[in-house]
Amino acid sequence: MKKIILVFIIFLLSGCFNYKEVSDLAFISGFGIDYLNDNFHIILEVQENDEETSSYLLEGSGRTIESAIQNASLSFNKNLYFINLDILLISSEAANKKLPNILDYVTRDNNFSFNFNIAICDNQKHAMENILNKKEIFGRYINSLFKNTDTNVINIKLDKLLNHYLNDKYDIILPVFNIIEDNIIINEAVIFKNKQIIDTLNEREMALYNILNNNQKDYYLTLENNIVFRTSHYYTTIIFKKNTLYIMPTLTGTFMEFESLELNNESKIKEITNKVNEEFNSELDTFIKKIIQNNSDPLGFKRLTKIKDLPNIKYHINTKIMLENKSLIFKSVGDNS
Amino acid sequence: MKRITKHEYNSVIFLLPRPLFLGLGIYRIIHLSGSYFWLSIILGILFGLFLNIIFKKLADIKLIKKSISIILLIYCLYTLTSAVSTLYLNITPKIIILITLLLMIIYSRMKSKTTIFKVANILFIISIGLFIFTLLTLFPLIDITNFTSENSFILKNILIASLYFAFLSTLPYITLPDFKEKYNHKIYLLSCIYTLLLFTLIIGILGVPVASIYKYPEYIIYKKISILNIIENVQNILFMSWIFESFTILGIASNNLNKKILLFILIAILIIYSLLITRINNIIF
Repeated sequence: MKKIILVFIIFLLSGCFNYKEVSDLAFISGFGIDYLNDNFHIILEVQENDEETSSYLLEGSGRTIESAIQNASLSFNKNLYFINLDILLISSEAANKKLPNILDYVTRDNNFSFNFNIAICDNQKHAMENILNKKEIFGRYINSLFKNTDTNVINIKLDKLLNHYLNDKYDIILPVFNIIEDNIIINEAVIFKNKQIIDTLNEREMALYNILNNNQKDYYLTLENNIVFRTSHYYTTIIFKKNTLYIMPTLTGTFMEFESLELNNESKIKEITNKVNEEFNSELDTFIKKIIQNNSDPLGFKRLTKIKDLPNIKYHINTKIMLENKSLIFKSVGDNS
Repeated sequence: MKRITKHEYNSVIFLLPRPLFLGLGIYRIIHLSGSYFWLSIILGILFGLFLNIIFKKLADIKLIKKSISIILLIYCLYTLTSAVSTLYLNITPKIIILITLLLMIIYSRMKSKTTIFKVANILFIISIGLFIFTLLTLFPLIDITNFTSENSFILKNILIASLYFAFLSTLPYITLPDFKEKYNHKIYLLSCIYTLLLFTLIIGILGVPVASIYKYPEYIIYKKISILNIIENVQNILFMSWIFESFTILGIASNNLNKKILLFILIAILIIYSLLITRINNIIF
């Protein structure tokens, strides 16, 4: 009797129900969602299973994201699999009108990755084709772009976006892809208010956002006489005390590209450091004023202050500039006269 | 019959406090206590130590032992079927997953308690290995701002959450044989610290708002693991430790029941589940 049961188990209960071979799956690396005329338009970048650097695009439309995906894969003989998704591109129209639907769709399904970046892009097809023409996989290319610390991109992944979206003490911020001369550049970010895009941040403001968020990216500041201060690392503490928000960034870095500055001249160095401090404070002050005027809170000030509206907030900036010499030379190669 | 060694017994004491948190347990505690989860868990551990003293006496009463075994059997079968169906085999009908688990229970009942404890000992080692890997890979991903208090301090909710923790972590001990004599509070404490660390990882990585929308936040955090872009998508392997813990409780609970009664209960579960499957899902989730 036991043997019969054993045979029954071996034949009927071993292996997986509806098992699919890897070659039957289509791994999606890039996913674009647009919303036009009450319809979702989606673009999927499918990685070729056999070739490491080859991929192709599928497009579809529908009243829902699911129906758009179904339409895109109508003539496709593989199952779409989003577990390796690298980037989700949302058009500004879709972000303003359908962000809740999009977020619900990508979080509900277990076939989705949890580690992908999200960005705003209005020319999704153009952006994807651009990279595909260079024989690279769009998703992977963008992934490496976000990891590059030289550029001050704002790196928003699904968990961070969800965290801010579900939290009434935060507003969302998303990086923007622009295409300039056939190159993808992440030189802007959009901030939201009440789940709607309200304003755009430029490259300098994105750098300040990264400093206030302690996202370690390179930051530089150019003074009037072309002296560049470049950070190697920074740390910002924000505290709320006596009805005032104290913003205290500490920037550690070195001077670069100086033509008429002697490193051994202590008073000169001090003077220039103070200038860096002033310049940075004024740049940061303008940025915070912009945030406050928009009443948008991507930095989570409301979480610290428990104040409902940002315009009522009092703040004080206290920056510390620390110098460290990690350069290879003692003296300036430029003119020291 | 071979004796159960102290080490094997302690392995089971270590594994049993967690399976009841699968699914609803973690969700409830995070939902109630939010960023004060740590306070709820610490209070829960203290309540749990006190409850174990009571359970030591209750574990001797056969009727209670058997009733709790039946309740845990039904609850764990339901949560495990739901978890496997949602996370692993989402195309497979739930009834097939349930049948496989029922066969596993019948097989483990055919073996003696000693076998269950020996298997639990091996599962304990695997579970610890998986946990160390999880801790090392996920610890750097913790964002300290996620721990700052975002919800207001409501003592009532924190106390309810701590009672949840205490009950869910101690109730399985009633099913243990010789619990009065062999209970070791140090192992219980160690197991609760393990659970506290898991909660810390969940809140530290996801934050309260995200952790409280997911049915299985303990699975979602594993999706974040990425080592040098080579080791990724290991969530299904790491989540196995939760399944192992559930297997242990199912094995021990089924061994407390008479073979005929167990068979009757399992058939009843199968019939009820297949008849009311959609309705049960709608009620609970």
